[in-house]
Amino acid sequence: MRKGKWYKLTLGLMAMSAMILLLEWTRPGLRDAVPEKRRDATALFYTELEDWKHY
Amino acid sequence: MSPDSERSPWSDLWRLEDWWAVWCGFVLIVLVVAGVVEAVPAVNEWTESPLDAVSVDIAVSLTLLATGLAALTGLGVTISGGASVWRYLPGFVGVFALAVAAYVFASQTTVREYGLGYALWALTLGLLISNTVGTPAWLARGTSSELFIKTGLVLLGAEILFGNIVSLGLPGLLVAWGVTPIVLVTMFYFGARWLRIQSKSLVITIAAATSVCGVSAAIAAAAASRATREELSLAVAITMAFTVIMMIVMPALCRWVGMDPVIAGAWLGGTIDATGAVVAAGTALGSDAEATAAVVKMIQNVLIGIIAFAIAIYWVTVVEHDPEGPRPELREVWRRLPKFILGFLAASVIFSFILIPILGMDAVAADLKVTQAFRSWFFCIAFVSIGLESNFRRLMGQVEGGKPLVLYVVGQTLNIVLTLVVAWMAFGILFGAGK
Repeated sequence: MRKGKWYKLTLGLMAMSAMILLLEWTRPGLRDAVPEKRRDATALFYTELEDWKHY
Repeated sequence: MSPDSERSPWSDLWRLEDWWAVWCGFVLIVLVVAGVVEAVPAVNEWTESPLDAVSVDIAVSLTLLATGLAALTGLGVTISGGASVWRYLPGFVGVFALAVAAYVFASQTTVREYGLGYALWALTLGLLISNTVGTPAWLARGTSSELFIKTGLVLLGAEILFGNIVSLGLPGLLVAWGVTPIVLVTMFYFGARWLRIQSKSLVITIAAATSVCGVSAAIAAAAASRATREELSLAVAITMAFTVIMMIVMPALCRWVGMDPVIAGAWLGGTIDATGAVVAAGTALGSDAEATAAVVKMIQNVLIGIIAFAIAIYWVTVVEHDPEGPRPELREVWRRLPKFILGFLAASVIFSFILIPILGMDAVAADLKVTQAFRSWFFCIAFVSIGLESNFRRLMGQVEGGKPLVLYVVGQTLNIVLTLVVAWMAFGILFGAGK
């Protein structure tokens, strides 16, 4: 095990966690707006949530 | 006489790792079909706290799963590889723990919605450890990536049901099977001849991932063409990055141009690499598009076994064959053929033509949920292992000035255009299913 490389591992793990935070940050309000069963990333592009009502 | 030539050919059945993958896969399939194993633990979806992902109950079930898989693979590693099972087990436990961590990352609600699956997180975690602090020797002894991948592929065979071929009739078959071989062969020639990418294994792995179904096809093609871990990692990284883009952009484009939902579903199903992403993208366009996209993808998935078998034969008889030497005899072809392919095809045939007629589709579908969960765990520990065994510099060495990326983009563009034309002709003009 290489000494002095732990900070790189820590930084890497922090970057992975930051990616999740970034994904969360990019889609505010979506979780409440779209029924749970039909949530997916494509919904980000649609402002007309009427389309989701029939689900 | 060398010890090798004195050995009975039957001894391959327990000496070769490929055969052990078949045995491990079939032991699990038998346990599931016999009703001994009815569920495989999975981590919970979580939104704000990763601690929600693993409850005490799940932790206990995961420990049992790890014990079972350690015993099964430990036997294979010990008998086929001659390694000490006591040195293997601690390493396996470490690899499994990292796989659980990868699943925790992948199970965050938003991450799931973007389709950033366990393979990406498992590979990243492994690469992060091996290229920062280095993989400790005790952990490295548990990284039996080849055995894990091949066992996962045998289990994947069970999910490839030939009955799916007829689900959408001729138009579905035209989209799923008409375009795929054309894109695969064109990409192979483009990568090997035009771009002159040195490794043909890398070219065929990227081509299979693009034309068939992303990560699973990449794994099958890589194993059939004996690609290196770094080559598989690169193909998986490229395909996953573009899958996220395609699953977001393509449905938006379909809606923008007002495309018929059935044609749009066929287009999405034929082009987006990962099955999960196909369903997610189809869902955004309504139930018709969702159903068509999912079925086209399933018909396309049937091709994995056939393509992996064809690649294995092509590699043995053409790529690895000395052009000035005599044609390889059938015995030689058999000797060099990756045997897990046979397990893969056998599982597919048994489920399609024996179990479905005997047990019925509902019972088989319930069994497949369990085998699929096992398969996902095997692929997850395989990707952790690949990451732990890979060197980032060697991985970057495969990039060759961006040629693999060019290959993917050109191949995927061809795939997108060709699939759109065929989907429009098949579902819109020839058979009018979309009207």
